[in-house]
Amino acid sequence: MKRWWVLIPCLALMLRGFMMGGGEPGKALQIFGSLPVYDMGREKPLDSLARNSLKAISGRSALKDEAGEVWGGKSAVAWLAEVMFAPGDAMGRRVFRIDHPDIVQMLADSENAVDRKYFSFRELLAVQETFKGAVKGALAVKSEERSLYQRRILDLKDRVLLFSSLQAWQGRLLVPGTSQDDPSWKTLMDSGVNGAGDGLARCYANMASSYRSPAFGDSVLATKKEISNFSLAGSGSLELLFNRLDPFGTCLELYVLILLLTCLSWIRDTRVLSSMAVKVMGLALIWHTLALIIRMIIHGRPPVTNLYSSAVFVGWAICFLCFYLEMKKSEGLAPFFAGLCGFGSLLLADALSAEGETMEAMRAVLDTNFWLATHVVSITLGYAACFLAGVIGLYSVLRGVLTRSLDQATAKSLYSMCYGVLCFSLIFSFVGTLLGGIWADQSWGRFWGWDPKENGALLIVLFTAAILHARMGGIIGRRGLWLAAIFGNVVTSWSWFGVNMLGVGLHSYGFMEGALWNLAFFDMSQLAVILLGLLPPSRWRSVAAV
Amino acid sequence: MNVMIKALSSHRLAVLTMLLAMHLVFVGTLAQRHLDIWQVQERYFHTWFAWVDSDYEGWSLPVPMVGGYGIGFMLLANLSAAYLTRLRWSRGKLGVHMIHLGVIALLFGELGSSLFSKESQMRLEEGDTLNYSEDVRNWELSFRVLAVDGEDIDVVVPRELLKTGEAVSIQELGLEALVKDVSRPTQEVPRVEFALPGQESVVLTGLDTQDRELKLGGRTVLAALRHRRYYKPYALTLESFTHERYSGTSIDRLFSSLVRLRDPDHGEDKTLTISMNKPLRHKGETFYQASYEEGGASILQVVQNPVWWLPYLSCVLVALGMSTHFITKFSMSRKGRP
Repeated sequence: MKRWWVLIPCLALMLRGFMMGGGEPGKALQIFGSLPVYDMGREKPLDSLARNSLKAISGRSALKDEAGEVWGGKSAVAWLAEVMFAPGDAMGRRVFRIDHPDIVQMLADSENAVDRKYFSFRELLAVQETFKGAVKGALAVKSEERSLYQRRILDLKDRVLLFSSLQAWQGRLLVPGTSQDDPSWKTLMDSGVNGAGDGLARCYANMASSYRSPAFGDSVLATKKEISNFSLAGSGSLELLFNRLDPFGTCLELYVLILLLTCLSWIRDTRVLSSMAVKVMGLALIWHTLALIIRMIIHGRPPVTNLYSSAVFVGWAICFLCFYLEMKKSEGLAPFFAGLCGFGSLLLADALSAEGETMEAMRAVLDTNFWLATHVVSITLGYAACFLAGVIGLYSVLRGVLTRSLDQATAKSLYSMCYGVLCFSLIFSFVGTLLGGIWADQSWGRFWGWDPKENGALLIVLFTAAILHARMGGIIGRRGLWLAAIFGNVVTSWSWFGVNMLGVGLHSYGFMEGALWNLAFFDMSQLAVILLGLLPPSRWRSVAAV
Repeated sequence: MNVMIKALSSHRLAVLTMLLAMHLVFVGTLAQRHLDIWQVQERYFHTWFAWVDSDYEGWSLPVPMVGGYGIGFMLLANLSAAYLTRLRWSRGKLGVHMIHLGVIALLFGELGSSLFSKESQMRLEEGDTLNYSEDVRNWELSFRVLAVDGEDIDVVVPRELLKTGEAVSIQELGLEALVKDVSRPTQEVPRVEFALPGQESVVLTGLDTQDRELKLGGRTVLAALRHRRYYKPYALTLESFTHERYSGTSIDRLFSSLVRLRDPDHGEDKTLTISMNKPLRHKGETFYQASYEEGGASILQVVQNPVWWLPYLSCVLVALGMSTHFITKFSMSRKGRP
């Protein structure tokens, strides 16, 4: 059991964000990225604004090769500096990611069709008349009835607006007031006019004029000093660290590593690899936990505030449950489930963060840390457990039907794992639902309003309760429990995402357009496995398991 | 008979009911794309039988389902039968029993609020004083006879009394109105057409912005079709309404109403704040900050629910039940060890 050395490459993987790049300009830009601004209801360093904006525009938080060479490296903050201080060059960078073939067609010259995904602002400007027409056409249609093309057009319009607002940063960036009398955030334009923030406006102007020259470093330092001397803005260093380490990104890699190790351990049936997988799982859990805590401190909120953070939290909760299962009864299966679910949920979270900022301000209804910390967290724990049970069900059925390897003992322990996790899910969904009722009664005067999201939670409670009663009454056995748990995935995915797609109700904060097909595809795949599992036990290749 | 009781108390029935409930909840959620939440409650949850209403899905065959009341009844019958025949009141099961009692309290709580709770709204602009709230899903026909001397006389005819082709006698005015046409309750904009003796027929709709002035035997009567009003023995004044957004965004940070409550019966006169998650409770009624209109009008939701405490009782039972269950399980597993 002394295979701790496996953690050394993992640590290198996790901490590689500390390695700097970009030389002198890179260092100056790093300080530039630490300047505080106020955006989306929250104080943050410019680096976060840069990453969120670039993520919204290009789908990634660093520049791709298509964009060409930017002064100071490929980081988001280097790009933002160019957008602000050398707007002409930035307009030529291919950063707008466009996938829809009709929009690509619109951008293409009639002769040479283009087969690339990234376009520049200038290319968009060249077709602005056509584009404006398309936007008008899309806006004329009711939001529920818009086609995919129209939604993409409007989405592109938002990204174009975001880009041009960054170019017009003097009127957009909210910088800290640099006088004791008026510490509020204001635009540089306003602070320049009032004279109060005169110094800061001048500092920014100096940065603009010295951009790409050796003097840039000094003018950035001067700006930093001006702010730290005169304003109440925080340093934002924790958030900078978080951005640089990108702990959720590295967690994703650790989960892939766990998956690899467990899969390899099946091929070469050895304890060496699976014990390594357990260690990496422990490390991933610690890293995931730390990342969640840092995120909570930065945001000043409980862990779950929107769909993105719920996905991150579901991944963490499943990893935690798996770790507990592995500690209780070490069988080497839990790391596989942790790797699979952790990987899946973080991938999902990445897709859900496409709009950039994930720590947005909480609208008035949700502005209560107490209920977010209790109701929302316990509902999300319920989701997580339900998914874990479903994954255990999937694994058991697929292994039982398709291979001869599922022996009596393993089947028994998979069964009891699945049952235990379902009980956990029932407890947390039920408690969470009740807490939600109390919150609703406190805020709107009704305990239960049949709102879609409430109904979603109720569905999970009803379904897990039904499974447990069916098991108690002897209606379902081992196979039935696994199959029911797989159907639990359908129920949970619907409660988690499906109800948001209806676009009605008090919980439409998580509303997402489209994605319905992904959900339908996922549900179909679950139903397919259930059908497979419904084969009579004699047709299962592992007959003993059922 | 024995077979019946066995079936009634079985796990099978419990599971079946829960699956039916899931189906109902699912259909009732999908229906909200086309119906508002009140219609959904009426058609699916606060009813014995429901139909998978198909006109919106384009199917021709409506499918019958057990409605919310039916599900609740089935669960109660199942649980009672199980308690009478199958389940034993042992100490080890105490926690589980309490959880089930909590579920029963929850069912009764929802039944009670579906029967007894009353919801209405108050729309106040800054400086407004109101001593009534309005039920925006219901309406009434009102007449105000302007006084020659003394006080104005108000007469209200609830919607239920207005039926096409029938006459409504209005004693305070000493006359009868013949209802010529009245809109159905489901119609979005209410409309009524009626004739008064010696007058042309009058059409009122819910979209009218001004009261209709009628001359009746030398007296002036103002007629209007309006939301049903519930008058209260106290009055609320909106002193000021605050609406804040996070700077540089369109996200609401806070909206709250500073109101003055005057209740002459109790000699109360106080000023307080109603905001999201912080309602005002007064005489069995609760005022919630529901919404606002651009330009400063605040909308308060007024809810009266005499059984509001039942869900809380349920939560206490469930919480106690869960803790008891874990404690007994834990102590049993400790005892079981060598």
